[in-house]
Amino acid sequence: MAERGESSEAVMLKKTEEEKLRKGKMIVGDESKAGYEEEGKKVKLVTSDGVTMEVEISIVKEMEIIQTFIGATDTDDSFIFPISNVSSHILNQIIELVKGEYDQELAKKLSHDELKEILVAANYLNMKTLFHFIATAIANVIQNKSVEFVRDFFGIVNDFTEEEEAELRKTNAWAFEGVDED
Amino acid sequence: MKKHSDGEVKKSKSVVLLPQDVIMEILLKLNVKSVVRFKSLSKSWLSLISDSRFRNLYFDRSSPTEKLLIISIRVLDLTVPSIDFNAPLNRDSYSYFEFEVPGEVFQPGIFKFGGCCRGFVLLDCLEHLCLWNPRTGFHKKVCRPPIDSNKELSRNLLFQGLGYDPLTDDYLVIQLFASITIYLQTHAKVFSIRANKWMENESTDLFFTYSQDYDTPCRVVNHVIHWLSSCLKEEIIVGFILAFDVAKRKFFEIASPIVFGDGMDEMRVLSEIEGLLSLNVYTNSKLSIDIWVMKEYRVECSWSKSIAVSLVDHVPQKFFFPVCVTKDGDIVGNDLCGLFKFNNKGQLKEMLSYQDVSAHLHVEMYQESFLSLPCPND
Repeated sequence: MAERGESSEAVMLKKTEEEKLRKGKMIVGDESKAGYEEEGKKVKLVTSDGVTMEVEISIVKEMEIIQTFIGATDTDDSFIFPISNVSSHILNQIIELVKGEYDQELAKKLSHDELKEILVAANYLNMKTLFHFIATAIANVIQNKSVEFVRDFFGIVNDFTEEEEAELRKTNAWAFEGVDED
Repeated sequence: MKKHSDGEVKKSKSVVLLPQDVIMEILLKLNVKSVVRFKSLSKSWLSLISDSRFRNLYFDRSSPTEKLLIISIRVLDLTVPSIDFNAPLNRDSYSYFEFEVPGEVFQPGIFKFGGCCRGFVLLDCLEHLCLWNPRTGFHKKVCRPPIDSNKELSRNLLFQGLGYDPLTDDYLVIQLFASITIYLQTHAKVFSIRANKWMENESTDLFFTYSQDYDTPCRVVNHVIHWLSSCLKEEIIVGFILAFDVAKRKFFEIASPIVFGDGMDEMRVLSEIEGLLSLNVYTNSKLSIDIWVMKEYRVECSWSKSIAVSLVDHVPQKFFFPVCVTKDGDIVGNDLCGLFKFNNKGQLKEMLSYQDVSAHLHVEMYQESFLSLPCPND
């Protein structure tokens, strides 16, 4: 059953990839007619801390939220996209991760806050590959960790009463065995 | 680009709060144990994890944790041991776990095992049926179907099983009976969890004959429930696979890749290998195990023998059932004394002997989940 579900998901993924490819080709095709040079092309992004950064088109292409703008408008070099939810620091991290082809080793160097901020940014910019990459990295950090560790990780306040929490721990006692040291 | 100073990073610590749908994506990538533990993080995490939408998504997305349940038909101590058959067969192993059977549902006594589906186990207790999720402890009693005294005096249960219909997100218990009063007739009854009642269902016109396979339970693959069975066709007893499509609520037949041999010499088990229906056969006189896999579902010519081994150094007792195949291609099965794992050369790799040899034991492949049943419709 699950295998079947997975395979249909895989098929869907393949489809969207194909669509992306087609879309990519279309853009290249249309733009090249208008004398558009794909290679080395950069797009200006303004970050939340007011920094204007020139980002390579290959990276911007993964940001579906901006891609829809590029598709809809005639872009020229003067066009500037504000990304008000992403700081320059985080955008730099994103660029490094995309350029590094999503190497898990790179993710290990990120702080917990960076991981969370990149995830929020990936969600906002609609960068699907980056989103799943970082979500997996966070899952790897918190897998087998204690409840206290994970509360601290996400900045979550415990709103259970002592009795409620004790009851939950009692009914799910098996899930608390063999947990990693914090 | 200038890096943030440490002070700024620290300041942002409590600021980065992730939206719930983002949290959910992270949770979907965790193992069952971590997800269950994190229910006690906060009230909002508890409600997110308890939500049926999340549970269904989790079940569909996660790679299944498959285990063997070792069910003693005569439960004395109200525990059911389980073990991850891909891990070493060892009682000290991390993967070995004993589930506690909820005492208010099962009176200690004899019960029959009726099948597994998405982490739920169907148990046939003396007075009622019960759906039980060993991982969450969730259980629901189901009364036996009522007898229509105009049509029947009593009846024989031939097959029963548990299945899931993804279209209606409903679980069905199916029972097929042989009528005692009307010769050759069978009839089927289906219990829908959503409708919370038994309904008559279209039956089959097959005439079933007795076979020891009736003691082997159903196997759910592709939302279809399968049973090994034998019927009388043109005065010859033919072994085949009876199937029930849960969504269409219809029976159909699948031909077996082999002619069924003597039931005292040949142990047959319906199983599943990487989502494919398989027929595992142990022949006692030849000490051989054959694993047949149906490569393309319902295409009978696609049955192919994927594993054929002869046991070399260890001979199990006469009644050996090859229950499943591990990811590494090892064969795991049980006899009256314990669980055995053989490699593809027929050598014994590991064994786990049962503590209580006298108990009648049944070993079943079970996919762990923390799903709960849908609520009955009003």
